[in-house]
Amino acid sequence: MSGTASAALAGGAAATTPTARPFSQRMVPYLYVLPAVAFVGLFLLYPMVVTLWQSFTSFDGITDPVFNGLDNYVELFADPNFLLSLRNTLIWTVASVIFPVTLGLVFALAINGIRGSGFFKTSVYLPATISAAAVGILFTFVFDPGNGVINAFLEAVGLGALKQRWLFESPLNTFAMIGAYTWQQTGLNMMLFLVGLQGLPTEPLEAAKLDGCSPWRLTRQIVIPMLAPYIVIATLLAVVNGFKVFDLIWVMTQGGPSRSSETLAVTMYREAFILFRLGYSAAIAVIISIAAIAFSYFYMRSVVRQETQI
Amino acid sequence: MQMIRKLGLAAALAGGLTAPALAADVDLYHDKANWQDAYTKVLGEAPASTEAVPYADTSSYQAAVRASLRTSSAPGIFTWWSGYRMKDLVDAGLVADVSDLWKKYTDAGLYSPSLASAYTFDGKIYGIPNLVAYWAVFYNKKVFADNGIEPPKTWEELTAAAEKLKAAGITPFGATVEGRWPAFIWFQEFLVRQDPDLYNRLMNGEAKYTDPEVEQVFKTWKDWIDKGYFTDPSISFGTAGTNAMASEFAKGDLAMILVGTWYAATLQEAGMSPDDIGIFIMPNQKADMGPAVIFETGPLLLAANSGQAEDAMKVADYWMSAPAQQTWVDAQDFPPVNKDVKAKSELIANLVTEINDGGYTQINRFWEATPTPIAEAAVDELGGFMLQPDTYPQVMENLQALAEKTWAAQK
Repeated sequence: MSGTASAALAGGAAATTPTARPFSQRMVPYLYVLPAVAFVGLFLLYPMVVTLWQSFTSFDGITDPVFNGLDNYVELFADPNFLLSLRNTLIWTVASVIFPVTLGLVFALAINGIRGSGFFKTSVYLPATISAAAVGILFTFVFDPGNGVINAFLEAVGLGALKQRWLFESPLNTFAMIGAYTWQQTGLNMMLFLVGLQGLPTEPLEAAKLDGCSPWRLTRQIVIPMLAPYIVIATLLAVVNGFKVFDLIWVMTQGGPSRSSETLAVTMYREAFILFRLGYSAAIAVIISIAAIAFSYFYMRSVVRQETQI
Repeated sequence: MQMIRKLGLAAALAGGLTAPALAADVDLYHDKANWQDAYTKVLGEAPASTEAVPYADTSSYQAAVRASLRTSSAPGIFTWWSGYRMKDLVDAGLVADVSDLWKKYTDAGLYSPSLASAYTFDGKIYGIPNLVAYWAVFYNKKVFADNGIEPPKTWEELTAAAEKLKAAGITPFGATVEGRWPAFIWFQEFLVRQDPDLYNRLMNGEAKYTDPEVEQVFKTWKDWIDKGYFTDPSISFGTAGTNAMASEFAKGDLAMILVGTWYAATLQEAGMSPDDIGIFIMPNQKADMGPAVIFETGPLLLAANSGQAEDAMKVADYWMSAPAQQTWVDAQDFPPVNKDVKAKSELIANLVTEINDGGYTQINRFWEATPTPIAEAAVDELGGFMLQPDTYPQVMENLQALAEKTWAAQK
């Protein structure tokens, strides 16, 4: 009896083992993921591999690529314009974390739970719905040295001496564009943090309040640590976006004057689509990708490590 | 679910309705969206059904066309840029030879053979004219009249006019770095007015940017900047959004703008009546030099590998004919290139008569006359000079280093 039972059990186990299922049935899960895999492979992985290959070639887009080893990379690091562009990219990356993310956090903390904050929320968020190109055009009007709002305002309040050619002096032009970028991006970060704040458990906050915790201490030692996952995401997105910022700069200064406000993405575009040095621009694309991936990896690793320690 | 299906069906139907019923025999690709109506008007009478296909952005246009040129799906005809900007396409054998077509029209005396020089490589012609513009000085007629100034015929009259306007509180000339490329405008003009031969040698790598003659150009330019003859170089020009230069010109705060003849339309959009706009060609620095004018031309090219190549050649023939050119000129107010065609406006008609009757040498503009890597980087250097004129010795060094690198790579 027991033998029969164990045989039946064994038979039952065998019947549910995946290897025993018909091939067509085992393939079903793979078929479900196939479209996504094909999509990612065709439109993401394949272009990445081609770009990597092109970065080792001299290629003008109309004749066959010619392998030239590391020439593009050697030229890149000897090119003062590339180094300037790298510097500007770092400024953008740091500034996109400092300004839109911090401001977004401050605004979210300030208005969270306050009645009638809807108008403020909408006003700060609205610019995020405009395309970067439109923001660029809008701010070329704002920064216009002759008739722009800023210079006109400075003139009107008797500070005419502070008038500037905002988009024509380096590094002032980069900071002016970061100002426009902050105007657009702050709302997005604010909304992200508001969502985070509204999802926080109320018990620890109430307990801290009952214990007489001051609002500043409550924010610093309880709210902000609990918001950490949102801060991590916002920072990561800001860094990656800062690294690849292009459209706003292209519309406002085209990287000028004298290439002084170029970032890596602008330099890449210029080399690829104006000078048709596709191999050289692929090398820049590879550098941007490596930097963004490396940052994301180390940042995420350190964050995960901190979380596990907690 | 049913609702979604209905919506999907409606979308599919709408897609089907908007697709062209019949494909045209020839596609004409271009990146000049605001010329679409004019193209449609001219091509409506073409011998093979031809459709103009506009691209909104120049860079994506160039990338798309370049990618298609090696294949049979390349457009039969496409707009491009002349001189060095089309040389790589010609070198790669991607553009059709249209020398025979030109021969037909030049033998009939309808086209000036010198116009083809901007599309000629190794004695063969690879393009037909799409746009021709001359680079001359627009002036505000009222401002000139109010200050007792006549269009200058000599360099001395030109500088005297500038001095007089400056004294009257009017900025004599517009100059800007906005949009990058406008930085070459005054450089090419000062070069040509000082020595056209020097200009040609510099463009072809036979002269150096550090030569004393080129230094003289920078010195003249800097002298004019120091004297306050130019607008602030950050003034907007209409390349991005605002156009303070055109509005100052319309208000009479700025007297003259040196630019291509296509700018007449922009000035009218800024509120100028055509009757208030005058035009003259910059005089030479020395009276004994022959008359010269800088011109710009953008060609239509025929893709050699295109499946539409045969029909495209017929359309190109029609494009050069007087009826097509008359429709084109009437729609665009461009200077006519076919001698049987009449200019639309009096402004352009007078200028063209002066150039044709005055025996002017026509010089291709900087943007196309020198290799693209030099032109593109040079406008950045020249823009730097315009913002900080004291830097000209360094700018000359940088330009020469750039030229040497580019010419070495070309050989």
